[in-house]
Amino acid sequence: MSGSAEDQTLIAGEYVLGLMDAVQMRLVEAQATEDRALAGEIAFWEDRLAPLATLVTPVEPPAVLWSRLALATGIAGAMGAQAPRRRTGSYRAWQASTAAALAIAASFAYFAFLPRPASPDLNGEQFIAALGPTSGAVPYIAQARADGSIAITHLAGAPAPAAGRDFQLWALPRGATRPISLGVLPAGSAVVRPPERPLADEQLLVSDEPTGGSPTGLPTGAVLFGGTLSPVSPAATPGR
Amino acid sequence: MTALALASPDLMGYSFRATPVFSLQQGAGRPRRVTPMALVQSDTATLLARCAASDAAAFRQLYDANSGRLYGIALRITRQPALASDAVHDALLQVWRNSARFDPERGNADGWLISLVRYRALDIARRQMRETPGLEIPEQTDPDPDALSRLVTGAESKALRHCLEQVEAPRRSLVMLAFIDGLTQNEVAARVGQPLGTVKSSIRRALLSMRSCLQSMLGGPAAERQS
Repeated sequence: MSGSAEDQTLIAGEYVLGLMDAVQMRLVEAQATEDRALAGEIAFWEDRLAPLATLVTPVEPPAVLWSRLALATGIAGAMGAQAPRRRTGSYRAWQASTAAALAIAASFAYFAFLPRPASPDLNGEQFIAALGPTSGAVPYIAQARADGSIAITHLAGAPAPAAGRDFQLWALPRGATRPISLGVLPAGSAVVRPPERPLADEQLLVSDEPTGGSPTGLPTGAVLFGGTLSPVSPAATPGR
Repeated sequence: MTALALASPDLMGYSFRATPVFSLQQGAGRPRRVTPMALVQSDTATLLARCAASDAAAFRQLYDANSGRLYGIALRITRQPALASDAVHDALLQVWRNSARFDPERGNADGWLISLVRYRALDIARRQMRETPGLEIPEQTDPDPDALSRLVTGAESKALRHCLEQVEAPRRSLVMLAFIDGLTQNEVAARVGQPLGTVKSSIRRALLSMRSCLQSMLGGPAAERQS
């Protein structure tokens, strides 16, 4: 192996082992897009070292991880007919996955979230998210205000909870494994005040709960609406 | 900004991205099972091909078969469940969006999947350390000295075990510490209490030895990658 080839395999090996800091990793990745031999060395090490990963004990991820993925990929609706998996006793009822019942419940509603303009470190970007089917009326609008509150406006056709039930709003910040209750949604318009200001990639969920809200502090019923906050250009927002 | 303005049709048309709903209700289905990598390897490539065709059921199968080990890998590197969740989430989202880019002729499907999660976990771990100076990371247990004995399934595992066994034990442990725990060279040096230069030199010698050994047993980088 020539000196140059030796250098390349060492760079690739150190990259795949994970020895580099983030800046070094980006440099190697950029170099590999131009240098196919280096890319080949990286792939060599990735393939050859992969069996080492089998030495790491598998750990069951939180079930909400699948829910996040289903939302992010947009496939939860397509998965509606698939039987959900049974969870072991260590899993709470709220920690489950896609279910057919929800596809039905969702067929009539959008739920849109519009957080207030972002903090200066986010360059004034706004965030927006929608939940529900790809067509149909928008019965709910949620708008984050400058004071950190979220205004919920019920539009015509908004579904109401069944007798003896309430809709409860939850926030699931990025990286969190448990949703945080933002309270029961009253009939008509309402303003809720999250403990933390919503940020990009945070999910907002609405679940069907017994009157007065979940008795456990976590969703116990079906999540009817949910969405992930995404940045939106301030210029796209009329009325600002 | 008003609710009325936000509800305007133009804004909806411009900004809204429909996303599906899901249930948090407990369901009835088969129990979760973690499948050893060697048993799912060929399946992984098949599932990736189906994901490339936007097959949602295949993506779910891919998740069911791999999430346990991928989460375990990410957790080992990030050492925090929330960060590990983010790493697996981001990597699998990337899989869903880019699975068409995986070419089975050019690489190992499981290696690709593991690499995506590891790199994302490494990025998150590095960022966390940068943004939280002084963060005390819980120590991992030292690598199991007999861990290599578990590399028994498949030609690639056996070759890797053989080639690692050709490396002196102290250097071998550095390689495993780096790969499994995702430590930088500085962190490895601190962990083993050796000068950074010594650690760098030891790892490089180990890599060159392994490179030669692995190539002789399994072949070098795919020709297409070098063309």
